[in-house]
Amino acid sequence: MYPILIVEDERPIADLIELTLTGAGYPCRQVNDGESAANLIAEEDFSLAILDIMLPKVDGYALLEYLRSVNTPVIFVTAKTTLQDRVRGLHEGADDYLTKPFEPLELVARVESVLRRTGRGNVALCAFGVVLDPVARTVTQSGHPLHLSPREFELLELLLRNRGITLYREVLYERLWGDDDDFDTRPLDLCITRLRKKLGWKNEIRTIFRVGYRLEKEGDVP
Amino acid sequence: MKFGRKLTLALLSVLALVLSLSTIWTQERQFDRAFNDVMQNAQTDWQQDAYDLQDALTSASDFPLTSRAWRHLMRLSGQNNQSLLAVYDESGQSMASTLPITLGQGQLSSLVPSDGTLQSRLITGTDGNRYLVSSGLVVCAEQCLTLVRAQNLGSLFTDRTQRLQDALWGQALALVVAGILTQLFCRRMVRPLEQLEAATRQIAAGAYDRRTALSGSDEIAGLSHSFDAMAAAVEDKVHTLQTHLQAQEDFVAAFTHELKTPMTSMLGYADLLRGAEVPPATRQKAADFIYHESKRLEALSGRLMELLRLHGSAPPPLEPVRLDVVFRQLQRALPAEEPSLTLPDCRATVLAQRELLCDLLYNLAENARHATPPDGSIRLETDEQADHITLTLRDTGCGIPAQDLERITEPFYMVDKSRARQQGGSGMGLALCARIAALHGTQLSFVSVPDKGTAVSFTLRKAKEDFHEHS
Repeated sequence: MYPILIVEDERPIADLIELTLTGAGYPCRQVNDGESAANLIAEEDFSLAILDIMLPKVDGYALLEYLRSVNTPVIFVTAKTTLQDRVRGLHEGADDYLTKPFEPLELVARVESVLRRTGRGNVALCAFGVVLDPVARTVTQSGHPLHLSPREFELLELLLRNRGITLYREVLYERLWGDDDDFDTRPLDLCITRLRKKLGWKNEIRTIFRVGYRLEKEGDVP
Repeated sequence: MKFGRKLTLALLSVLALVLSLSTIWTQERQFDRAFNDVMQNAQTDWQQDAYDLQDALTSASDFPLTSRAWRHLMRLSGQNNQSLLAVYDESGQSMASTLPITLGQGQLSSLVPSDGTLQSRLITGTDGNRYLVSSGLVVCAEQCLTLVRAQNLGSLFTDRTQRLQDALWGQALALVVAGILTQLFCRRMVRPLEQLEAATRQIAAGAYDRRTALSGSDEIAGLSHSFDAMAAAVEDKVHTLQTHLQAQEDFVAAFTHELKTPMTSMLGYADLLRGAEVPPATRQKAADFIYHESKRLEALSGRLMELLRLHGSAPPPLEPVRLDVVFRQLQRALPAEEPSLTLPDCRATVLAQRELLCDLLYNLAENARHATPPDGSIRLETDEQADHITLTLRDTGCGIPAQDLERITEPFYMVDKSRARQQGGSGMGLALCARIAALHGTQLSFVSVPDKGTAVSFTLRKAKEDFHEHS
């Protein structure tokens, strides 16, 4: 799979996008101005490009035109939020438009949806014979379809995306149940229990006491 | 009703009235003249008839008077004389008459018997025919007789009616022609007004660049000129407002952008940190970004507050300030690293607000320091004139590209964004400087050659005290 091109002149944001996408399993290339982006596009192939509009030297719209000619899908990430800007971006052939500030998870979701729509990239997440397709929202285990409730699905997706990383329970709860003041996280524990039962994952999903949960990597399960 | 039609109708009715009056007056005058002629002729004829009658009555005096009169009248009609005559005796009794029976005693009562003078009257017969009747006394041996002579005026009156009718037809024809001409004329007169009206409607509907532009020197052209002047003023005003609005929108857009960029980093990295256990290196990097982006936001908000304060307030009171004092303060505020700022020895006193002036010079010096390599030089120069003094800050830095030069004092405008960011720039420094200069009644002028350096200068007024000191 070709890497994702990130063109953003703000280093912190470029790093953030790279960190987020690398974490989700996508290799990335990062450049910080339009000119080097244009050079890179001429030399290498990319599965997708994430562009800022206001770039030094060559702006995002010019790059977009360039990328259209090599059939690379484009997502604009920009602080320009006026309707005209959005319309112009989409009108000139951008595949999606993300405004700053954005949540890293939203970025991943948009990237996957564009990759899927343009028939690029294998976006399925796999672990221990379980395959989750985040765009089609289906789960199979050893080839057999599994039925999960929406919460269970989202929980599994989060665990799969952060494999080997401990997820804090409060934030997990907040991401699945929304940002309410009620910090009773028992629904989360119940959901984990149901997920373990449905998938037959006793040790694969590990409880870190008082901290959260973690989906183990392939070799780490006892 | 349209103005053109009103004008046409008004003109036509006046014309019709005048024409009718003049026609009637002319016709009446002509008729009067013709009638007088007829009357004079009738009286001459009566005289002739009277002589004839007198002769006839005297010639055969053995017959009774009545038969003599009859015989005369018969002879006259026998001679194919169409005269209508009648003879009455002293008491007004008819003696002989060839008058038509429609002219009876009743109609003639005012003329018969005659009082001795020859008089003529217009008398209408019972059948409606009009006759000119002349009567007078004819003296013969026996008594004084009254001779009445009538003349049918039918043709005269028919003539009058005919002529009046002709005149009216002519007048009607003239009015039609006049009406058409007036209509054309009025339309031509009114056309500029219509053009003016159409143009004003368009302008009112928002086409501020539309002009009426009617040529000529009459009142309508004058109105058109005034109107165009007004439209130009309106267009100007609208343009100014639009420019102002655009500037405001640009400011808000730039501000939003400047705000959103650090926000995105802060939110993203915070989200990364709080959701899961991340490797120490990533955590360190994330925390570092969050810290620096917050600092950037803080600096931005400080600068913005300063700019808003300067924008909102009235110009500060300018007071005499010694330049060397300002320079010392500036020297203390600037960091000690290379390149350092070389200051002139100038003790002039200028009219300024000390803190703002120091801030202005500090900002310009910091910009110059950022653009100039450590081995370059930054010099402040003063040029003293009679009543003002020009300060120029000259550096040997990287210069400013020509296309950026006129925009560099716009808020948030940065020539090299990433370099400016690294040096903690917010894009507000020169906007602030320009505002401070404006509050001092001057403006910043930049001269820059890329890769050679930049010179920025502004002019301050000298304080009055300064003159006294020198003189």
